[in-house]
Amino acid sequence: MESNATSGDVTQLLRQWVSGQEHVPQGLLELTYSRLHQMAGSLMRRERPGHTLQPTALVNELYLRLASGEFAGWKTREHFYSFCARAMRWILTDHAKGRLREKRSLDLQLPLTDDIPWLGARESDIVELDIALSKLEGLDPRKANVLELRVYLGCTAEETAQILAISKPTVDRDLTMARAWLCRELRKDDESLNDSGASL
Amino acid sequence: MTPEPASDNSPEWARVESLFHAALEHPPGEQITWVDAQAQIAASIRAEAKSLLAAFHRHQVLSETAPQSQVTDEPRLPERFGPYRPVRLLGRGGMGVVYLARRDDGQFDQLVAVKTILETFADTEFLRRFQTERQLLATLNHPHITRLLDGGLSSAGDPYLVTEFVEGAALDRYSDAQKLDVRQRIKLFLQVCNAVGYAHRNLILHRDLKPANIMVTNDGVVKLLDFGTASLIDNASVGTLTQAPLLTPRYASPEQLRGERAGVGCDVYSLGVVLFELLTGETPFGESNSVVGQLNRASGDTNPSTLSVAVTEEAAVARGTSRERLRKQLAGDLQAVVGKALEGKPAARYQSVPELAADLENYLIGNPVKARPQTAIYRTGKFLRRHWLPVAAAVLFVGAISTTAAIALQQAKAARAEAARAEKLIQFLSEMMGPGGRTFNLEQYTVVQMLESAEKRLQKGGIADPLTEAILRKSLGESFTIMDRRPQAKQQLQLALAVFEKLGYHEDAASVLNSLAINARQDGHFGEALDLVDQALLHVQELGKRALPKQKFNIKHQRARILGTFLGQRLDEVEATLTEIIAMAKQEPSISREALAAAMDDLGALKLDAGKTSEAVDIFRQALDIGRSENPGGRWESNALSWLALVNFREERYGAAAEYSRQRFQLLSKQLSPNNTDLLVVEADWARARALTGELTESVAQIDRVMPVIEKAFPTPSFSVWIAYRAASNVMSLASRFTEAESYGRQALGAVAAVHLSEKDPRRAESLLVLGVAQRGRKRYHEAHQNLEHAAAIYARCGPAFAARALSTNKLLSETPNQ
Repeated sequence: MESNATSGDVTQLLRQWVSGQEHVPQGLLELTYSRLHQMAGSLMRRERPGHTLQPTALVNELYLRLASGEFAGWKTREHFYSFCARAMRWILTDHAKGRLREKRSLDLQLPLTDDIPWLGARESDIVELDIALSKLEGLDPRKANVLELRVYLGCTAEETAQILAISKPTVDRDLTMARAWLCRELRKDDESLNDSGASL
Repeated sequence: MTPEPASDNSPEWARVESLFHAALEHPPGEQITWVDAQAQIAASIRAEAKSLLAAFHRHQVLSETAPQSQVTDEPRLPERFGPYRPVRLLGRGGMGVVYLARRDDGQFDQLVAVKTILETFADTEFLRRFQTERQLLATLNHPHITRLLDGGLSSAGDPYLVTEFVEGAALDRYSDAQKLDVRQRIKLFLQVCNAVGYAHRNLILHRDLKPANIMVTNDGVVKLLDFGTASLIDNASVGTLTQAPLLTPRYASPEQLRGERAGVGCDVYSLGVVLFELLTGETPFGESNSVVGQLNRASGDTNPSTLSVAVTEEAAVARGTSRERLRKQLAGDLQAVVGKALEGKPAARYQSVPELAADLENYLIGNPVKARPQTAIYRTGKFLRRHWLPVAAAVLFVGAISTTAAIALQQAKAARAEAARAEKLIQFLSEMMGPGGRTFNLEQYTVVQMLESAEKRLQKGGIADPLTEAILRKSLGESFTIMDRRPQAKQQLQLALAVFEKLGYHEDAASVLNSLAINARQDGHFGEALDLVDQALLHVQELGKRALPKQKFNIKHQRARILGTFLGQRLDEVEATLTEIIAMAKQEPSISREALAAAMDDLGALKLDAGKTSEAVDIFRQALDIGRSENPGGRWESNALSWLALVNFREERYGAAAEYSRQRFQLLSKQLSPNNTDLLVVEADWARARALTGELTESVAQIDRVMPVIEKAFPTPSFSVWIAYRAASNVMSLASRFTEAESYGRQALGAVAAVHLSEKDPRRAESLLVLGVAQRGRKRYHEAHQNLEHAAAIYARCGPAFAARALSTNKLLSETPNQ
């Protein structure tokens, strides 16, 4: 399948789409696919023999999910990106669950952001992140969104702000709180650090 | 900052959130205590906030201790690759590992780089790429491209490539470590262009140009690495969905990001990103590597930031300069070059790497860059800079004013009016450069009005920052200087000077003082001019090593001119200064070769006046050589030619004088429009020499054609065309058309008077001489006698160079009846 999107096409596609089209144009899907592919490549940083999830496979799956009619009702570009992050989350979590079930080591690395360097250090993190995010969604959906875009798509604060239509200071503030919350969820057992932490 | 309300959340959560953030405002050690002290808040809320605060600190501790790089599993060094034994791991690329290895089969003792493919990537796609690199590299043989030495299969059956080992650092790191300045960085980058251009000529695209792939050896030689993503031009694989090309998004062109066919434009674009980073230390599109950022760029939605905006203090230090100075340096031409390389559409970019390189070379030698839109304003700017007229400052000034005014007033109407005025200035400058030549009268144009309105606006105040105001006044003053509005120029310059001196801005103060000196000089107040230049020099001394060589050169040159050309004093000192600054300029690339050639011309003229003709001729020839080697056919070549013509004329070798004049005319006629007054003046001068070599008919025809155009352009005698008046008078006398000869002679004298030339300037004598000869022809002996006598008296005081002239004038005088 060749990408025949030219610059003009894509720009036009994006414009048409923003103006309230029902379905994501095919060209844009392909474009997104190719970019996510790249990104998936950078997730596969662990050069370990016998890894099971090729970047291509990851993105193929994402593409199927993106392209399926079920999810094709995005109204805006921003909405679409949020969905991409969500799709990435599903795929990675599924994959991690499978690996854990089969008692095999993970070949993924998270996050794409430098903000939470400790995240991903444990094999269980990817699955637990998903659970924690679901919990946060019930409590504060916007913070869950911010975290999702940041972790799974590597969005900057500016991009996150644009996609969620909020200000950058709000994104920063949300992220501060969300990180604290995430650390409490995923590193309960590390409370020994508290003393030193509090006296910093 | 007001956070957006999170309305759907529970009120408890909202309270926890605000308590959490409020606590974070306090020092880490006091946060828990502070929360405890908020007794008015429910205990459950406080407990939750405290728990989150503790978690946040845990997050911070964990973040600090988390390993920076999570790459694990150092692969063990393999046994060997054929005759090569790995010494250590050099690095990891996108698809493989690179080892430093030594050939140890006794044949050669050579360190090499061995590149292997990672087992996990050893699928057919990567193997194909590996093969490609091998084939392509084998065809390339260039000093700036790593050589492919060997290749084969390891005992385990894995393919490997052997290339020469480059010991050095990546382009960006090398440049920062060496603290290379902007020009040195560009020169290094030109080596990269050279290598990429060579690959393109061999029909090979690199497709993954980035600093990490560009090594610089300890000797400063660039070596291009990693042709792993290279492909043949026209055979570039079209990106498919299942085979997204391996590329580095940060350096990839929009069409590469879209997975389209790669062309030369991709490498041009990547080079643009590399250059941007090399110059500023920042990336043109920010740090974002997210899908969102890439998609936006792929769709052509984002524009690169401007070079000067991207500059940080740190970057300036790494480039051995200040932030402000770096900004200035990166604005303008370099911005245009980088912008053109980074155009979203390939068709708008440079069409080849040599084209990009040529423009950077243009920048380095001070020629116009092609990337700049060839609008009148730009060409004119370059033209004027060549002639040392900072008219461009006027344009910039107007630009600055219009922006300030637009922001201050927030009125579209005012902004439009400013734009319209700026447009008029551009038009004016373009007309000045246009086919009509210098056929304008300054007063009729809006430029002076524009400057005056800017002046009024400044008088009204409203610019809060005195430094900004001073900078604007400086530009305004310099513009008035060019427009010969000296009282206004002085007023603005003095106001600016007061601020710069108070704030200790020595560089600006020196340049303002230099402008004031020009004004004083034009007013004929040479003593005052000298005093001002000396003050400027004090500021330059204050700057010490930070002084810009260019400014030092300009001010010293100016001083030499005032002393030598206008005051005719302390000529030994003038000679020493000129010799000093010429030596300095020869070592200093930031001083334009034109300025150097001009200083050499001045030194030559000084020697000539001192009767050291052969030394003078040597210097003029040298200036001519510098001109020809750096910019063949340039206008400074014409200066040197004019001096050589003059020397020969004085020595009465009219044939040689005519030949130099002819060369000069031919040179300029290629650059200037046929009716350009500069060109017409040169033609008149040539005609004068021709008349004396027996080509009187042709000479008269030239004068008859040239002079009416000049007189139309300059209704009153102007010193800038004095040479033409003198020539015309001379030729007309030789043709026995004495009435016209007298009229031209009077204009020559009028032009000399208009610029307050000193009483003993030889040009005054020359004017009197041609006038006297014409009057003699008309048998108006009394007037002729008076003028010739006056000329002879001046010549007598002009030193040995004019001894012959004095003699022949006296002879003429003795043959002229005094009635």
